Amino acid sequence: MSLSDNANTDPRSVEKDEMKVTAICIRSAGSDLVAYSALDTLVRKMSFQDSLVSLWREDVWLLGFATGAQDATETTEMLVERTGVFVNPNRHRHEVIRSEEKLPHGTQRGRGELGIVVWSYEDPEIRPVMVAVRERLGVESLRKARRLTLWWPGFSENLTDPDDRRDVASSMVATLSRAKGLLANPHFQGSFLLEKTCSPAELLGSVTEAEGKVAVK
Amino acid sequence: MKPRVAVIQFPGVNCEYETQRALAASGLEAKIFRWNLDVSRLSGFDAFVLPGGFSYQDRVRAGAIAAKDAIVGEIATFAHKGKPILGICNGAQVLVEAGLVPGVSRGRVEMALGPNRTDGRSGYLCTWTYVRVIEPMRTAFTCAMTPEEIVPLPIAHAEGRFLTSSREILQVLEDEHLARLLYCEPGGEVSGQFPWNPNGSILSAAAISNREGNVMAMMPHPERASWLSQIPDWIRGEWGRAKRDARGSIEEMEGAGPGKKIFDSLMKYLA
Amino acid sequence: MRESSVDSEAKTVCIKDSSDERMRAELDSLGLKLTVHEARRLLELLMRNPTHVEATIFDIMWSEHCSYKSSKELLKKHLPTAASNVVLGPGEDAGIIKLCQQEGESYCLVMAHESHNHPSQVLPFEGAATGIGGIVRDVYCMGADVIGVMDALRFGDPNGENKNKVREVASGVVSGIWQYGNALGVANMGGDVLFDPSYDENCLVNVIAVGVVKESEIERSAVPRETERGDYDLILVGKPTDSSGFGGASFASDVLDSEQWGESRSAVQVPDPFLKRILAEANKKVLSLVHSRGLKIGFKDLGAGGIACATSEMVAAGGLGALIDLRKIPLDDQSLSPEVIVCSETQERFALAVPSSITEEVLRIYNEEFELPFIYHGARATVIGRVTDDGKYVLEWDGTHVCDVDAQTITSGISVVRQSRREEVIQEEPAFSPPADMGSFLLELLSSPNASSREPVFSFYDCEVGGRTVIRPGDADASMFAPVAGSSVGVAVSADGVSSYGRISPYWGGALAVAEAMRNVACVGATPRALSDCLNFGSPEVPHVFHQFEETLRGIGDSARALWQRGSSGEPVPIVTGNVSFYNEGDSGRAVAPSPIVVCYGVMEDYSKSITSSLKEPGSLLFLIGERHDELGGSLYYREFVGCLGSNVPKVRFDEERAGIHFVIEAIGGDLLESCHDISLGGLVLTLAEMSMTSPHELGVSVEVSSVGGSLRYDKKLFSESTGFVAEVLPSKKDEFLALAEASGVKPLQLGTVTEKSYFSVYEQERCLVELPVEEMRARWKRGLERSLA
Repeated sequence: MSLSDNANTDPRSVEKDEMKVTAICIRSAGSDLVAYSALDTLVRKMSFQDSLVSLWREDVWLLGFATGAQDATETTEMLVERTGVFVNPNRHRHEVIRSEEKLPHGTQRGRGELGIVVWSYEDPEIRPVMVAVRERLGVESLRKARRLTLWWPGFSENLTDPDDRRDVASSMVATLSRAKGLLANPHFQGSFLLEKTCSPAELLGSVTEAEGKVAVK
Repeated sequence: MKPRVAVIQFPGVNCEYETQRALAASGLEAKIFRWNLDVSRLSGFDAFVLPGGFSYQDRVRAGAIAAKDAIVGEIATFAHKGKPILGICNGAQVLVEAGLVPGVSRGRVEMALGPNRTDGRSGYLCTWTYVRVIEPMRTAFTCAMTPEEIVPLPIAHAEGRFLTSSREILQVLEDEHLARLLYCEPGGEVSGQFPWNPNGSILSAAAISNREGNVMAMMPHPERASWLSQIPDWIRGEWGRAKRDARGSIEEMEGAGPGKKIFDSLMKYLA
Repeated sequence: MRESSVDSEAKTVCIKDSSDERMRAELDSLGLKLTVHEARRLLELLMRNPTHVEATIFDIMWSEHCSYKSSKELLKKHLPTAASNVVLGPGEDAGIIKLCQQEGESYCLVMAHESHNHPSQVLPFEGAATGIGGIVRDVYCMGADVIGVMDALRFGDPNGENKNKVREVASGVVSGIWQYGNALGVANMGGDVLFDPSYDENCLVNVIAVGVVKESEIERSAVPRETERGDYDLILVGKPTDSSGFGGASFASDVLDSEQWGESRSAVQVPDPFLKRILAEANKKVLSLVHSRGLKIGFKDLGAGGIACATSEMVAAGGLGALIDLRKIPLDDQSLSPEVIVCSETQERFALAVPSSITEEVLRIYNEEFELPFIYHGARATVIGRVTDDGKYVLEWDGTHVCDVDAQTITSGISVVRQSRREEVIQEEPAFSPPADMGSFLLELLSSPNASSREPVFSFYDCEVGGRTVIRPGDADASMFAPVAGSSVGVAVSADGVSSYGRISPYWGGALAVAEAMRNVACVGATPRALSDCLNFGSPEVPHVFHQFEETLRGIGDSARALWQRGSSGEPVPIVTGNVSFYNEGDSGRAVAPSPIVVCYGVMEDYSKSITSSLKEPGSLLFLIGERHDELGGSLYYREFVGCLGSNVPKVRFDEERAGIHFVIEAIGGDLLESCHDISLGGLVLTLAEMSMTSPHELGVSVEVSSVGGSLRYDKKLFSESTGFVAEVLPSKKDEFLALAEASGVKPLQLGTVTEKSYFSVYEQERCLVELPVEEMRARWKRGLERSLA
């Protein structure tokens, strides 16, 4: 199977159902300076001083394997524990999410009820990772990979209406001007709100769907 | 009195000193201006340069956080009044994230400088490119250049690919030739192929300006090619020849390099 | 003198009046690596039990890494460190030599050279990045502007039994170096990468930084001693302290054990080039304030041994003391205990001792003008204590004195005598036939890991930031920078050291490393003016390893003296700084090959005369300088083709070598050469091949080697690694070139010509040895390294 830049599988030859998708959620071991600066920018330099009190970030790798669920999980755990491809133990803490599980959501460890997913349509990290895993490490069952950033805003207490929260979250994302948005540049990055818990496959599905729409445009 | 240029020092930029030196060599008075100084002090300047480096460590996205700094808001006001603003490499990323380039609709972010992406190679790349100048008289930073010249300039970046998702913007860029410096082959032919276009930029753009021509975002580093001594002796074309012929002559080595004309243009524009 | 007194609440290490076994058990229970002998010495010095904090401090200060206990006597004995151009020799963090005069100011070159081997093996990216961070700090804290960094890397066999690990380490290290260096804005000045199975389990990462400073603005780390100085505050600035790197210095002084890998990982520090850059800018502002007021300060970066090491050294030099309140130190983790706080190696921190009259201003510069706390969570400048007059180094923790020792005792160091025993190594010269098809063998060789182009690595390195680059790494044997604006002076640097030579003869390994580094600098036209070295060896407790170490030092010293500075009256090229890294062994206990890495720093009065190594003119003549001998021991040819080490290691014929080096420099200065390249790995044929492949017009060569190397068999002529050069000379300059050679006592041998036709042709009489299209050679050569790093 040849690798295109996006390491997409040919959707006709491998059905989504056949792929088992796991996730690796990676967060900073120490202070997360990216989240620190993002929050500082939103609050001190933009208009979120009354609506935002905290911001937490994790990177999520979604890995699609052409194997059974057990193998997918074990392979993911091996990649995390025994190689440096995804996780750097000096800087990161991580969780492996099995294909049959849901990604952590809600109030688990700094996350909230409303997450923000951001990813690059043409992420230059994907190809070298696919090559390293498939060729150098010989794990040919890996068919697809995506890297997302998952932001979890902490809203101020007076912001009780879920619609208001959704508005605030939305207005943090797409960078349309100096005053509007920060977390994604819509010209090359996709984004959406994550309002309920989902499985890695579902998340990957949403990402792929969004990419499909962009390609059509 | 020499025209005064502020070289904006965001936390993490690292090219500010050589940029200052290059501006001075073209007769401008260049001052390093720390990002959090009182913005009212900016009013004494005639032009602004955002130099290269890693402002805010490229956190969130290259140039994204610096674009929100109050100083950029003030610079935007000056941009709309017609003062010249040049963004080099990371500075270009800031201008794009702040909506100052291409600035078709005032204040809107209409483009991105995305990750390098070509058939040959992705990721960070340090190398030399060749560029051509399109309609030099139409910007403050190219007006001392000619459409015939082939200008070797170095690049060093991982996110240098100009792109837009808007067909309308792309149309404007094409129709109005807002891509002012184009990557080309050493012989001068504009090229989208790697290695001549090192990052996959649309329209082979090495630099894009606004319609008025006073704001320009460029990815190559002119301050690293302002003196002949700075260019490698293997550069093709007349500049390479000039470098090789200059061997033994410190006067020629300390003379003008291909990038100097960017700053000479600014001097010409302001004078 | 006040008696040393620690409060009874301070946690003590109870070892006084203990037997050896009990002492060992007590030390082990606290994770201390002090030997029983060292602990007894400590008891003698303190005349009481040490506190836990004190014991930890000595544990680190007396580690091999900090104290050089095994090596310092030998270093003094063998290495020449003095010359009239030296401003500061070994002893501080960096060495300084005179560089040039410009507009009434005297400028100096500052250089630092260190290793970061173990951390890079454990966590390649961080280890290498931290190495770069540490080395530039050493130069910054002399008050200098850093112009560039170099890296000399040694990795295992990328195609051998540990290839996955080797490749992971290699790509991580390269990544760590460029990501840190590029972000920091320091140009990469080159370096070298070599692969050898000896490094399979323990890579070598040597880092070098070069800077420029006005002689009048050199900062010393020591607090000035003047009696009228008044009160001095001790300020700590940078990252909030965490436990990272705790045990880092001891970690470097111990063998890597993969079982301890998990623990080892937390011993690797976390680098941050962005914060470093902000600090560098803020430091500049502070230094400028200090100079404008005519004040003197102490200024030191924090490296091995953290706060304890830096602050004790700052005060000890002047016979002064310090009183530090550990509760004032900003922490990332509030649960840290005092000995961790004071010894941890959190990166990106500096210590300053400033007159209290400017303390507020200094704090304001860091905390408000450069907004440290906003840019980096928890970062700030804080007063942590003050300088005292009584020479005592006192640390307070919640009102309790947890350390109270003479500062000079802490910094006095320790020495240990090691056993040295020569190991009889029987190497033999092989009997073998040359390759049936020399051309295809050469093509294979060009894509092999050690011979292929290093461009896949260079293309990540920003070698132009700063705008002072004259010759880029890869364009010649040494890179060159013009660091002083307005001055025509150029600085050239090269790092070298082939370990396979050391395996046969440590003495010649050392001597050759020096000679090669000097030849590389000479090839661009610069005169060697200083050296630095890093000596990477196995355990000094193993007698034959220690013997290798001493022999290597002897070789380096002899070479540095014999190849004396051109234009001087026989002054050696001084070794002004360097580092010793012991305990480089993997799990298997096998020590790395004796691996001296020597850097030569050259100065050229007029950089416009410098040349590169690629061929320039069709029709030019090619000359060989340095006869070929039967010296293929340790050669690339023997290793790649024959598969053995051999025993005839090249020798440095000191008088000839010096004559050759001085001649080449003079010839380039007299505009007699178009290009020049040194002969080392791969011998004459690889040198010629590189000159041809890198020429932008793909010029070819046509050479005939019958008069080369006497009666040597042809393949040995081509691949012998006897030292030398190949020079390209225009026909019109031939006579002058030969006349200068004669006057210099050098006998160049004409090999052939540079051809317009893009073919690489080597003949012996009528017999064609190699005839290859240059384009094909270049294609193999350019991609070779990528395959080894993937």
